[in-house]
Amino acid sequence: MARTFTILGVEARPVRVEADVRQGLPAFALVGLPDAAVRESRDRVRAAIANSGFTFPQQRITANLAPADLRKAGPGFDLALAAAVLAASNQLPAAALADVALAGELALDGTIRAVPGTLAMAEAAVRAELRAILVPVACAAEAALARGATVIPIERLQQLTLLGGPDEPGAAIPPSPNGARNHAGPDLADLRGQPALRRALEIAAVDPAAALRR
Amino acid sequence: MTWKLEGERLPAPLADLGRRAPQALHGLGDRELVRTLESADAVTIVGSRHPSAYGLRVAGELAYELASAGVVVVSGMAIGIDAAAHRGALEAGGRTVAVLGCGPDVVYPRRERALHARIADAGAIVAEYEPGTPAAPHQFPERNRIMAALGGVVVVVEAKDPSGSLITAHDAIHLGRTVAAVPGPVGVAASAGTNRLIKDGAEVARDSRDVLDLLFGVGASEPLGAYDPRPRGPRLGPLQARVLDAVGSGRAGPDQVAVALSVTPREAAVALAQLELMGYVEVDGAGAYARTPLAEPDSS
Amino acid sequence: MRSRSRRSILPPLSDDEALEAARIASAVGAPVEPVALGRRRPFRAPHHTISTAGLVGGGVPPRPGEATIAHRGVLFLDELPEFNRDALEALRQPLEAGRVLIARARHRVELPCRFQLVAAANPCPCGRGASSGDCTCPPQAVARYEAKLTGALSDRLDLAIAVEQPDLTALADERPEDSATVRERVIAARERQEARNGGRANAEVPSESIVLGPGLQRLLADRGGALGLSGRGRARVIRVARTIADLDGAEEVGEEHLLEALHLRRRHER
Repeated sequence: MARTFTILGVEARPVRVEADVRQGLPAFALVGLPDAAVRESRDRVRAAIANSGFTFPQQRITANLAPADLRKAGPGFDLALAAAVLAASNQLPAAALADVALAGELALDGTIRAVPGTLAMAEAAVRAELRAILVPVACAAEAALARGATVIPIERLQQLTLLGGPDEPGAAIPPSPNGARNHAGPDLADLRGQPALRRALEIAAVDPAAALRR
Repeated sequence: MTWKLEGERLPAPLADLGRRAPQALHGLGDRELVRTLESADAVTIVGSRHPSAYGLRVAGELAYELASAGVVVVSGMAIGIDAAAHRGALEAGGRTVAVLGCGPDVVYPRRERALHARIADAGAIVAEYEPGTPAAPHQFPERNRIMAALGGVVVVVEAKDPSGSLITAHDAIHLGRTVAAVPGPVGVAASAGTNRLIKDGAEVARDSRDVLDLLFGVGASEPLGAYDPRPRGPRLGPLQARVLDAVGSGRAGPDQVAVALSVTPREAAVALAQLELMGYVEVDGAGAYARTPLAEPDSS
Repeated sequence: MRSRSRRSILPPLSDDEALEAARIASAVGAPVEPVALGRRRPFRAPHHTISTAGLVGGGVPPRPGEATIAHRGVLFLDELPEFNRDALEALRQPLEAGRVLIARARHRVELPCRFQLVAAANPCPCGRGASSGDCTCPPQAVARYEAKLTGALSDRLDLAIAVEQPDLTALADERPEDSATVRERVIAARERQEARNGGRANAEVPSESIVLGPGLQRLLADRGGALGLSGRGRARVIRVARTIADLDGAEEVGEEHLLEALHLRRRHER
């Protein structure tokens, strides 16, 4: 079972990916109210697993995204889905996935692509008291803004074999607001000859109420 | 309740139209007022359908004062200047006649329904067209000649160039009526026509005194004297008075006032708010300040 | 362009605000750094053809709208009367409660949208203003336009100003203040405001609790009706006056502050 999240609005809701691999005609069924994009992930997962030095099980695979009544959207389940399939086919130790969450889209060659919402997901991982969340490298800085989160950037599917071991990739460091604090944007001085407008904007800036101008 | 005047019973001024005179006038309201109307007793006020706040104010004040002095105010009940003139006359408790481009019982424009009723009640509505005749575009220029003929003086308050009001003015000139125009700000479309009339030789009408002088001869009319209908407001401080003048000359907001008077926009905004509280200025839908008819206290 | 400059005078996002805004930027796939690190307040200016869901959020599965992406920042609606009425109506909940609640079968989604609304409108469809004398609009069009303006959102808007034609002769002499100076003043005023209100803005305290200088309460009571001030309008004027006094560094709300607030008030209250 692999843990991931779906974004509902701006919040992350937990999703469990359960995978079952058994003898039978090769098939890969995905259940649990996924949308079309999620169903497409089967093809990406299959290719990514095969291209990462793993074996895609030629068996009857059933993956369930729980809870069933929560609509899942987007390609961010790829990584968790691949991890669940690998665990279910004994290519990854199930224990390694027990206390982490994963999010990311898979490229066919096994690299991991950015997905939106990793900051909210990292916060949700903290709330769920998980050890860490694995996110695409491009999302790591963003996810690391979550207070108290341990964010592990992951570049390729293959790196999952390092999970829980001594060579596990190190946690990302939250970026700090340095001199990047700028107030770029046109200056009020550009509003020459419009003191009434400047004055109204100034008043409105103090009190977050609303302003109308004609 | 509509009536008809024809032949001998048509008001005398219409005879000046010669062959162009209407065969009959259909009407609502005070028939005798219309039958006995003399151009020496009446002033026609016309103007733009899209007037500025200035134009509306002047039309209303003019009509009010003329009606107070006993003059019959004639107009066309169009939106804008015409409606303001009728209202001004009604407010003064005076007499007004509306000349329509449709049957006298047909309310056009529809939004002037209430005004139509008030004029029918306190004055008269006439038209060359049978009751029930709907408004049609060609009928309006036709009715303009009747308006031009009924008034001894035709005052154009605001008019674009070209416009129907200018045509009424030209009709009046051909009839030998005096045409006066109210000057307006240069460059504003609503005054382009009136300013041109003045340039072309029309009389200047700044106020009801100017119009009365044209109607009765200079000095021949009853002085308005102590009967000054305009209410007066509270005393003004020096800055307030200057700001009020600035608004009167068209500065519509604190930035413009500030520039004109060399004060800060904030001082201008505060003064404008004070003037609004005192009733000297009002703000329109666009946020522009304009003078109200409230007069400053007597300097005595 | 004119409303974009507003950002530079707004105080930077606090730590908590920055995290909220970053979370939202992350969720919609927008760049997080300017918000999280640059502490720049979001500025969103959706086109008036935007759908209701696009403006306040919705869809299946529910996605945040522009109002949420503007959270802790500014939502600028240019040509306010051109927006569809349902979309404007839908902004009520965010303006009242600072969030939008979307209920689905088993799950409730809360979308934060505490933004500052700035709207711009022409005085009439042709833009010149019905009483300027230059207006080319038929009167029904003006009436319809004004009805839309005074409709859905008008009672949520606090300040109204007419943007006057700049006087070109004045431009030569003027040395307008730059944003940094104004921002300092804004920050100082906010601090005073929050110190007095226990951390809240003037907008978040009941107007009855705002103390006016002597005679000002009576002035409003006596003249409020004549000015067409509704109860809500009066409350708003008092709040704005308090803010102006804060900008002045004044303990007490004085007559000058109240008068300027009256000048800035919304007309056509309903």
